[in-house]
Amino acid sequence: MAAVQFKAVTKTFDTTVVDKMDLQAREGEFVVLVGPSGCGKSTSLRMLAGLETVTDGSIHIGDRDVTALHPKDRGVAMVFQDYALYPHLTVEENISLGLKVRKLDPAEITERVASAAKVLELEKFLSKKPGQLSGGQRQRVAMGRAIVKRPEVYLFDEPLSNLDAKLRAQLRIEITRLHRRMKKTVFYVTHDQVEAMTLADTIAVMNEGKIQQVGPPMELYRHPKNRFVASFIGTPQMNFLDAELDGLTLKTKIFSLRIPDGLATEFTDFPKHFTLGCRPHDISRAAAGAGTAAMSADMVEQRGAESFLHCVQDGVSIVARCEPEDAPSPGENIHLRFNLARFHYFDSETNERLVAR
Amino acid sequence: MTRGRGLLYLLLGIYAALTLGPFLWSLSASFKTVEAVSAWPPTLIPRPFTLENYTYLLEKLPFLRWMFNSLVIAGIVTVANVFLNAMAGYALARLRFPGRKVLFWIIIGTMMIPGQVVIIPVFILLSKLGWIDSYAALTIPFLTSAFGVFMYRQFFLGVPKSLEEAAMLDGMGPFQTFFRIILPLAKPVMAAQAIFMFLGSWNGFMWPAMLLSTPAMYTLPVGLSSFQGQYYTLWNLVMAGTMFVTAPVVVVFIIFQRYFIQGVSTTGIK
Repeated sequence: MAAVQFKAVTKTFDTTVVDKMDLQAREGEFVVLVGPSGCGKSTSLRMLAGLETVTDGSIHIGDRDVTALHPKDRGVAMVFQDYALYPHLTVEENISLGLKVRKLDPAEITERVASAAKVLELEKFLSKKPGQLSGGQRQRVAMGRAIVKRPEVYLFDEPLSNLDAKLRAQLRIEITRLHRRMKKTVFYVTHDQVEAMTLADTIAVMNEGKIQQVGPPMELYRHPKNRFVASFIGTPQMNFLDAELDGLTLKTKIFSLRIPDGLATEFTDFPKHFTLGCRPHDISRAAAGAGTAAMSADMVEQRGAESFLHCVQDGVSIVARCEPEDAPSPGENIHLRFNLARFHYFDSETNERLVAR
Repeated sequence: MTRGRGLLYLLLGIYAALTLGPFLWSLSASFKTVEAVSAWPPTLIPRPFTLENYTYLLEKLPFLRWMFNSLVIAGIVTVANVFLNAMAGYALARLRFPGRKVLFWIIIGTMMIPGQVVIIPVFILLSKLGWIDSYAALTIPFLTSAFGVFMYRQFFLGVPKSLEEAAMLDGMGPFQTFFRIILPLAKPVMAAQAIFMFLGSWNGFMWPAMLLSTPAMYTLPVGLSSFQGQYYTLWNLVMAGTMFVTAPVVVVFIIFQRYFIQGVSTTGIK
């Protein structure tokens, strides 16, 4: 059993970096910790690795409390952002050193290195030094060093952030494949929400040392628990508008919509003023009419398959998605229709979600 | 060839002549007789050519003994400095302990005290220890150097921390991490220090002259100075002796010059 559990883990340097964090991972689960820089995600991972001490609380791997254990005794292997390969050793020595230190049988070491090299397609590079390899190859060596240890838990600390976009996409797929093959628990830290969405079984969004929400990627996307998660997951970012209820009419600065009778019950406990969230993908161009917003197209962001319109009106900025062939020219006056069925509502004070769905 | 290039070669040529000239003259003088050395105008080719200076040094004087003394002292000082400075530099760069900053500045501060100022207290201290006229006097006080510690510290500050963390996860303790991962990275610094320290000790004159008194304990430079007389100096003999002092240094430098230059430039950055 290699489930991982953080129990009320707190880490304090000068300030509290991680605050009473509770998080569980099932055996074999791919957990991605995601959040802006300084949110405590890396510190959490490093505490799990044993590279940072825990100020308060405990960390468990399987049924062992590893809080006070030395990193080498935790059954974890880590892949670092800067690869952390030993520059003076060959690829083969880099991969095998950890096993040699543990005094494994040499035949066993050779076999493990060979099989890792095969999986990661590193056979050609075994006698090279890290300095002779490209970034992507180096990161594969770093993964090889982790794999040969046959750890119970893999830790990745922003492993792809030093690579270019193409390699990143490629290695993302390789990591997913590797995980499927190894069936081991993975903790993966990134600030990139696309990476989080594509890799994770479960995403834990962190901000200011606290876990904001834990769940499968699509759940976080569809039902963000608070405004922070809503804004962090999904690109372009969700639009937020100040809104108020007037009877059964939803009013914002740029449009008003009548709430269908069937949905009315959802709004019974609403405060008068609140924040409305709507993803760019739930806004479209429309002909002028009731419920649409008249806006001025400020800028068009072409992505190839789709376009994003940056619109302004009365001091409100909105990003909306449209088909490239429908894209207006900058400065053009257009109308946008907002999909009420996909709205998210947040308390303006607490930023918490208003309708539990 | 452009004009700038020509000028460059001219300047380098002049510099080379200024550097090489005295060396070539010494080499030539070491094969000359007493009369030929003081002849005017001086000649570069020794005529008559003689090996007598060398045989005299080897047969009549304890020259091999001096060479042995020099080698032992410089050897111990070099090896000790290369390792001890590395350990101290690593500790100052990476370990967290109370007073490490103060300690570092104290070490740096010692570089600002000229050796001449401490001659008397050091002499008194060593004589109370009974070390005067022994290898101990010329090795133990010189086992580490502030500059060496500083040089290593600066280098280790630039080594990414994740390397040590990776080593930790690989199951290495602090000593294994240091000797298997960190120290091998510092090879250029080690080579540079080996040369610095060897040269410093091998060529050292002030301390050996102060701390040694019996001819059997002399190092080469001290022994060499002993045949500079009050009224006249046998330059041919002195120059033959100088060749003994210089030759090993030249050999060491040729072998290590690649690292040497690397090591010096390492101290410059960061």
